Order: sequence, then structure tokens, then C-alpha cells
Amino acid sequence: MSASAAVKPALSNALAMGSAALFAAIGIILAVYGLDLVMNLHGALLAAASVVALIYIFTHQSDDRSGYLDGPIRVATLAAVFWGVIGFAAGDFIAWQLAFPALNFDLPWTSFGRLRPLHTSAVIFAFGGNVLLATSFYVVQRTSRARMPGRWAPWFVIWGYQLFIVLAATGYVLGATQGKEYAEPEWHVDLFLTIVWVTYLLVFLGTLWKREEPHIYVANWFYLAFIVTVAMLHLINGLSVPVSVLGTHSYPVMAGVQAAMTQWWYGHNAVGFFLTAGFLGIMYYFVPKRVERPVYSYRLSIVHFWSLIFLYIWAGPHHLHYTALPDWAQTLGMTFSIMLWMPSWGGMINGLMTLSGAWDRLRTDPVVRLLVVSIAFYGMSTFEGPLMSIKAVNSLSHYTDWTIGHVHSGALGWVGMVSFGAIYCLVPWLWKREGLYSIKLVEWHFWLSTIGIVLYITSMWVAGITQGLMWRAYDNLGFLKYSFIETVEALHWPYIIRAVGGLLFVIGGFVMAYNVWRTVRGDQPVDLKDQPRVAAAPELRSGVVAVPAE
Amino acid sequence: MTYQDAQVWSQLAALVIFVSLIIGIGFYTFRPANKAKFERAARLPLESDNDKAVK
Amino acid sequence: MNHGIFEKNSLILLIGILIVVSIGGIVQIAPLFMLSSTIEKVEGMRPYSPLEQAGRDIYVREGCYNCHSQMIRSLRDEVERYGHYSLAAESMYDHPFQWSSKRTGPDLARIGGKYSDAWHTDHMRAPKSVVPASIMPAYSWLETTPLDYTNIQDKLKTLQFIGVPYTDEMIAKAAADIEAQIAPDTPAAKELLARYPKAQVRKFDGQSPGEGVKPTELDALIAYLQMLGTLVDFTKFDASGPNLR
Repeated sequence: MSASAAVKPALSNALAMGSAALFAAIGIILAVYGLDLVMNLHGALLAAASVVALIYIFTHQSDDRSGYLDGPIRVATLAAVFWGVIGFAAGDFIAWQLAFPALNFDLPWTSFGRLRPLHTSAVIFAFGGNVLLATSFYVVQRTSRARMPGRWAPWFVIWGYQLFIVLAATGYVLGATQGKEYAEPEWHVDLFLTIVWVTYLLVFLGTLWKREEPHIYVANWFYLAFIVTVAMLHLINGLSVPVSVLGTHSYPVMAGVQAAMTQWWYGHNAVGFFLTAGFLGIMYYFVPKRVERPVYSYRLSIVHFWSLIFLYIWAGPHHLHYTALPDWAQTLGMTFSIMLWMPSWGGMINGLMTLSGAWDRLRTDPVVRLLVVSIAFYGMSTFEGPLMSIKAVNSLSHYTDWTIGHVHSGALGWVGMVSFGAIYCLVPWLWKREGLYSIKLVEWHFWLSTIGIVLYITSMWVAGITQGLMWRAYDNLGFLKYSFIETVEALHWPYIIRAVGGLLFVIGGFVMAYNVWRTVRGDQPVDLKDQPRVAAAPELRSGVVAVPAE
Repeated sequence: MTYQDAQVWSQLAALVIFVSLIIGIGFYTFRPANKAKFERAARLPLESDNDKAVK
Repeated sequence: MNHGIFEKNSLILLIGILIVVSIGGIVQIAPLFMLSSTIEKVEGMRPYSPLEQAGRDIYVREGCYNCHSQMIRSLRDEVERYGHYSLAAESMYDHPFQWSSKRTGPDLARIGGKYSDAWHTDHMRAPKSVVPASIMPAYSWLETTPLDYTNIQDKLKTLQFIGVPYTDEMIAKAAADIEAQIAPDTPAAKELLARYPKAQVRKFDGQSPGEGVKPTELDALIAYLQMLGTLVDFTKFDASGPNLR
């Protein structure tokens, strides 16, 4: 035992330094011999990050493996807040571009076509991804009562993921894209992400293997499904052949209708597994934790899990109604999308009913309100989604802003708010504080976000339905009534209202960043008396210790 | 493969898999032997989560 | 406690998840590689000429798909507004496909030939100059940026590798064909037309053609836009085939 205890850290340090050196070498080769600017830049970034990592590992060889490993979780939590604010702001900026196109500045790097992927990737993968990394590492350790395995692997997952974000974002702005929605990073960035992701899976599984609890808590099921399914989707949809191994440009292996089906199998399950399953993991841990009661029905959560992951994977073709995709596939996609309503609402009920007997928390704790309203938005958008997957409805809604509004009711309402709730829980717990710097500011954040979302969704309903109806309007003589540009002009005011709603949401993001920063800095909370006991770090919760009822 | 084949096979396969999965889930979830296990599992997040809990 | 079994449990969970999430994709995606309606070739379809492919790469680079679809649905108003609904075969050489999911601007699947080159040039330079209410960004740098086609051979070779039927001759002549497509009435242009039927040969960006004139990025992009949806002749198209949806 003692011998292996001494060998193990030395081995993991050596392994980590070896990998860092290897990455640095690859980076230098790409920086020097890369065929285009983006590859040179990415090589330089990779090399620089690897050298920093190498130096850090070299100077931090001592190994203390007691307690939970929370350092990487702290980094991911701060990264989520950081990228969140950037991603929201980028989204609002491109929203203003649609109202006032002069904001494109006639420059390649600031045009809508390059910034929109920047926005979607920043909010989904950078903000959402870091929230998932932070919470999954937190939850899997606590519910397994085990420390994450590995001295450096968890750190590599977190920092490697940040490097992936930087590589993807700089690539977009400079025009390196695969041109597939939500899968825009070029092949070399995809490859790097794969390495990070496999490490993530191994760290997560390793924690489960070390666990002291016989049962794997259901939140971890959702996280595990999210991790492996995203890996599968990413690998298959990302299949591509680079023009040169030293250049950024590549061509996806699939074309036409096969590519379309695969892309929306990927795209809809990025929603289903990244933005739903992963965040349901958050719901199943943080809602019970914050209201201090077990989940309403554990059995329901299991039914929820299996039916959700099984049904979701079929829903992709509803993005391709009336296209060149064969009808049978469209019908399958529609049928499963409608069935998906059941597990979604089962999950919503399970989340909401967890509060039964503690509904007063909704009034007294704005963090609970964020979590609960997020579940309500989850219910709303999972009702709207099946509706929009019906072919007749889809013929009107597809290609319009209705889809954009739907996505944002899920993304801002569900993903955004459940993430904010989790972040507000995590920050005092991770930094061992008595509570948040200000619960009042959480209240502000809640209302700014809620009003912003309502403005966003309603204006996009108006825009989408207006444009959809105008496209198919005929005059008395049987001719199409409106030219395309007339249907664009009609959207000017909805676009402005949407951008204002988005602005409120962005301001809310800044309020959160300020609050998190003051809490992390260790400033004395200004309204500690208004905060529930559970807001404090576990070690600092005075008085009653939670005793598990048998 | 013709369009008809694809239609029949894909939809039949989907139905069979769907029904058997639902039955499987139901069996696992409502098996009396699993009741105690689930009740214990539901309390996992509420238990002590400070550093002393980890071994 | 017997940890072995618990380790296996998390692996069993993992395998269970993998099986459950694989089925849908297999049932929905695999047949598309075998069905006649999705793999059938339609008369007139050919690989993109090197200049068109270069233009397509610019279309992808600038993220045009964020606002423009290339998929006309089989709905009455769409067919009247944009033309014959899109066939699966029409995007069979599209790596990546660009069907898109949003029409902030109009569908472009059959934009080819609807506007003049001059209109496109003005439109890219300043969209509001031809469509006063347009909210499209300007792409004024395209006409001043020379097209970089140093690796066009490698690009075609890569596409050939993943199944686009480029011949070795097409690959060998790729760079020459790019120059030929902006040099009308030359022997090289005639050769290009033999390789790529229906290719349009002219200086697309409004500059005058001539000896040694190099293509701009705008040439490539307009060459691509002007051929979109023009390859299949729908006056001769047999709608009773498997492509009838």
C-alpha cells in the first residue's frame, strides 16, 4: 500500500507532463508548419497552454488526495459565469444586428453569419457545458461519497474544455467552420474535444467505480447518458476528411439527405442530451438539495430517465418535414416527438412536486424560485416542441422565428434558469461561505431574466407566425400576396422587442457575475438573515444536522 | 431496399422495441424488491456532503 | 462489499444507455444509404466545377446557412415562390449539406439565373442598394479579395475520396478550370464545358475578363449562386419516379 502510494503520484505527474509535452510539440508543429492562419494560431494556442500546464505540473508535484476534489469544479463554475455573460451578450448583439444591419460593420469578423455560431456555441457549449462539468463533478462525488480519480485528469478535462472553446470561437470569427449548425468546429478542434470528452467519461465512470454507495443516484444516470450520447453524436456527425492534416479545412463525409438526417439526429439530441438530460441531472440533485426533501418519486425518475433517452433519439426528423427526407422518416420523427411529451411532463411533475410541503420556499428563497420557474419553462417548451413537430403546424413554423422563440424558451427559461439556480447553490458551497453576497441581487436577476424571456418569446411568436402566414398568403387573383422582403420588413419591431428582452437577460447575467464575484472574494454577505440555512457551505450550516430518516 | 420495405420495417421495429422497453422499465421500476433500494437512494443528495463524508 | 459487481453495474448502465440511444439512429439513418429515393441519381446532376466548389466553400465560410435555406419544401406556396421542390439528388454532392433551418432571407436552392451578375455584385457590395429594406450584411470585401485556389486540387481529391465522382482528369485540371471559367471564348473554357456541362463561363464580378486576370472571391461566390438549382431540367424530369414525395 505504502509503496504504491508513493509510486502513484510520481507516475501520474510523469504521465501528465509527458502528455503536456506531446501537446506542446504538436502545437509547435502546427504553429510553424500549418498551412493557414487559423491553424498557425491554434497551434500557438495549444503550445502555449501546454507549456503553462507543463510548468504548473512540474512545480506542483505534491499530492494531497483527501476529501472531495473541488478545484476543477470551482474553475468550471467561474468559467460558466464568464462564458455565460459573453455568450448572452453575443446573442443580444446579433439580435440588434437583425434590427439594425449597420451593426455588421461590413467586416468579415463581425458579420451575422460568423457571429451567430459564436453565440450558439458560447451559450450551449461554453456556458451550458461548464455548468454541466461543474455540477456533474460535484454531484457524482457527493452521491458516490468518493473523490474523483486521478491527480491531473479532472484538471485536464476542465482546462482542456476551455481551450476547446477558445479554439472553436477563434476559428468561427476567422472563417473556419464545418458549416453544420451546432457542430461548426473544424476537424482538428473536434478531435481535441474528443480527447477531452473521453477523459471526462473516464473520470466520471472512475468516480462511480470508487463509490461507497451501493446504488447509483439517478442524477448520475442522466449525466452518464448525456456524456456517452453526446460522444456518440459528436463522433458520427463529425466524420470528416481534412484537405490536409496541416490545414483547417475539411469536408464532412456525408452529403445531402444522409447528412441532413444525421445532422438533425445530432442537432436534436444536442438538445435532448446536452440541454435536457444533463440539466435534468442538475434538477434531480439541486432541487431536492435546496428544498431539503427527497425527490417526489424516485420510481418516476427512473421511468422518466429510460423513456426520455429512448424517445428523444428518434425525434430528429421533425426538423426536416416536407423536405427531401422520405416521408416514413418524417412520420417516425413526428410520432416520437409527440410521445416525448409524456416523459417530459412526468419529469416536470416530479421536479415540481418535490416542493410539496415546502411551497413556502418559493416565496422566501429566490434560488428555489429560479429552479422552479426553470422547471415550468421546461414544461412549457416540451409542450410547445411536440406541437411544432406536427407536420401541419411545422409547415407554418419551420424556417421562421417561431423556432427561434421555442429554442430560447428552452434555452433561457429552462437551461439558463436551472443553471443560475445551480450556480447560486454551488458558489457558497464550494468557496465555504456562509451564504451568497446578496440574495436580493438573486431576486433582481430572477425578475430581469423572467421579463426578458417573456419579451423574447412573445415577440418571436408574433414574428414567426406573422412571417409564416405572410409567406403563404394569396391575393384574390390567386397570386402570392407578399414578396419576401415585405415579410422581412414586418419583423422590424418584433426584432427590436426581442433584442430589448435579450438585453434584460444580459443585464441579469452581469448581476449574477457581480454577485458571484463578491461571494468568491469573501465579502461579508449583506443580507445573510434572509438566506436559508442550506445556502451556507455544508461545514458552516449551524444548528441542525440533516439526519437521514429511515 | 424499396420505400415500402423501409416503411414497414422501420415502423415495426420502432413499435416492438418501444413496447418491450416500456414493459422492461415498468418491471424494473415497480418490482417490490426494488422499493427499499429506491427509497434509500432518494435520500442520497440530502446526506452529509462535506469533506468528512468522503473516504 | 463486493466492488466488482458495482463496477459492473455502472458498466451495465453504460451499455444499456448505449443500446437504447443507438436504436433510433440506426433505424432512421441506415436505410437512407440504401433507399432508391435517397440515393438515386437524377439526370443533369454533376459535381461542382472547381470555381463553383470554391464559391460554395466561401458560402459555408461566411455562414450564409444561418439565414438562407437551400431546401424548397413540397408546399404550394413554396413551389410557387421558389420553384420545383428540392430533390434529394440535388444535394447529393453537397459536403456539407446546406439545407439550413431558418429563412431570415429567402431560399436559395434555385437562385441560379434569377438575377443578373451585376445585381449580385451590387447586392454583395451593399444589399440596400438593390433591396432597400434588406437586413443582410454587406460582403464588400469579397470583390477585392483574390480567390486563393492553391489547394483546389487537394480539395477535389478529398471530395473524390469521400465519394464525389471527380475524375482524375478533373482533378489534374482543377486550377486551370478555375481560371478557364472566368475566361469566356477560350479553348480552356471549351474544355471546362465538356467536363462540367451547363457550367457558366464569364467574369462574374463585373470586372473585364482577359489574359492573366485572376478570379476574386466574389467571382467564385456568384458562379456558385448562379448555378444553384439549374442542373436538373424539370421540363424533362420524370416525376413518377421514386423522387415523387
